[in-house]
Amino acid sequence: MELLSVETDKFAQAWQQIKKGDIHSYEWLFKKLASKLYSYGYRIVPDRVVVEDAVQDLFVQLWENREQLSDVKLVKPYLYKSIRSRLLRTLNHRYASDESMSFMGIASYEEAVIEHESHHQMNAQLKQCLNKLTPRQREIIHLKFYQQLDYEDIANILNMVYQAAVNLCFRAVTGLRQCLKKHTD
Amino acid sequence: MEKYRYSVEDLLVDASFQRYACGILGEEDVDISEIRQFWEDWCAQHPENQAAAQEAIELIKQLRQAESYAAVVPDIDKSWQQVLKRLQTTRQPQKPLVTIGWRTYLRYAAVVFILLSAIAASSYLYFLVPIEVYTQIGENRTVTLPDHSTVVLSGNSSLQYARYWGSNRPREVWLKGKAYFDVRHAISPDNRFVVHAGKARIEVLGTSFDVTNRNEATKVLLKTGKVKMEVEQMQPSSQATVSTVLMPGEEAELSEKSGIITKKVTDLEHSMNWVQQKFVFDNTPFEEVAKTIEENCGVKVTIRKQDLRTRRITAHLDAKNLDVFLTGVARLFDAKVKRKGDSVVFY
Repeated sequence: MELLSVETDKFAQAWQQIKKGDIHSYEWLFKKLASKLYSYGYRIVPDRVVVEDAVQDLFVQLWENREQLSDVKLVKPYLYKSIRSRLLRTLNHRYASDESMSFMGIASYEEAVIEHESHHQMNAQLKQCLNKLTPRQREIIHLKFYQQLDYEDIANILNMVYQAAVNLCFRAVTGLRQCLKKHTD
Repeated sequence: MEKYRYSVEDLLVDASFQRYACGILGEEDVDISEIRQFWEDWCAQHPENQAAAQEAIELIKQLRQAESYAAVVPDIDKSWQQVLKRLQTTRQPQKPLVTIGWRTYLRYAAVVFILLSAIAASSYLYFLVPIEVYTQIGENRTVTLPDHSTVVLSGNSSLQYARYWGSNRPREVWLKGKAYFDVRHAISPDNRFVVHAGKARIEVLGTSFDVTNRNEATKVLLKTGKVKMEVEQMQPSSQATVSTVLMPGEEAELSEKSGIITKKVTDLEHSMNWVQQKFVFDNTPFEEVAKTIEENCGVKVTIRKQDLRTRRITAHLDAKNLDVFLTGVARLFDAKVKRKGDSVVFY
């Protein structure tokens, strides 16, 4: 817990520096988070151009409005949340899609799978089982095990209370293991 | 210590265990030595949970791999250069483009519509509502009518007429009080000039005359031309109209009570002097002087000194200032005057 709060503090400090016009803090924040935001965003809208545009938009506007920025304490979830709502907006514009339908499975990333032939067999099962989860369950698995965000941040991003985030994660891993067991039997 | 078998799921959702697993998978960039120590001790103390721990770590490993395949990691340096480029092109703070939605558009349209209707309604009213001219006590005002006829409106009087007069319709004015008319010739037979004063209807056949409509009587004094005076009929069907035609120098008086018109010849020059705001009294009894003052100045005159009533006076008085005028009259009669608002007392 202590280690995480150090990281949170670092982000909050960078935020304050950005508000004062420090371009180096801005660059640090971008390089620290951009790739993570890309990865997260790509699962919401599987379109490289749209996601890169959205992330860059977010950061460009951050710098342009730096003087009017509010004091954000939890910078990381704030940025995840921003990119999430931006991409959901573009989704709604394009497909009039339901928010819960928005978190993509892994099955569609054939090219990525081909590059990692050695894991092919196991991944195929895991892939199938991941795709059987609900979009929200997939999303929390991504945020938890790939992005390594803590429950507090996830709850913040997904607009839920802490315990609901833990419960969602529990349901996701339970569903995943049940599915995997069926495959091995 | 009580033994409790942890499930793989229990461990998977534990935040500390998650960090431990990620740490030993070599992908955590923060120092986790403390957490690692804790979980290794825990595994040593609870061998019954070791299998579950192994399974949980393996699943996390595979999940992370699967997620990594799906992850798109662009060239961050290139991306950063793109952000910098965009910041340079938009260095000047951009004003958000104002996009007008149809709702906003409707709102503006509604405002414009209301404004236009207001303008239409007010101009309609402007053409319809008659002009009314009032004069203060002791004030004469010259009014030019739409046909360029002139009216000298005496003090404490009012005149009403339409803003626009058609050339084929009667020119009508409504008078309360006293006025001198100098009327232009009619353009067409229907274009006659009519003065409504009390119950009297004065139809102008010629040019200049004087109308007084006070104390329940209407007087017309003709200077030049020809004027017809008749009693205004409430019902058009009733009786033959009472009417008289005046010649220059003649004065007709209609009593509102009796509805009878009486005619006499008067001294034109004296009677017309008020047009220049002068009062001319020629051997006039004081009672009549008082009446003239009441009529022209809108005050109530009371005579306390009894012998004043019958005394006569000959004088020319300027009526521009009522107080000066009153003291002047009082001095002539060797009396005193007191004025309090609308009430004047001679004593």
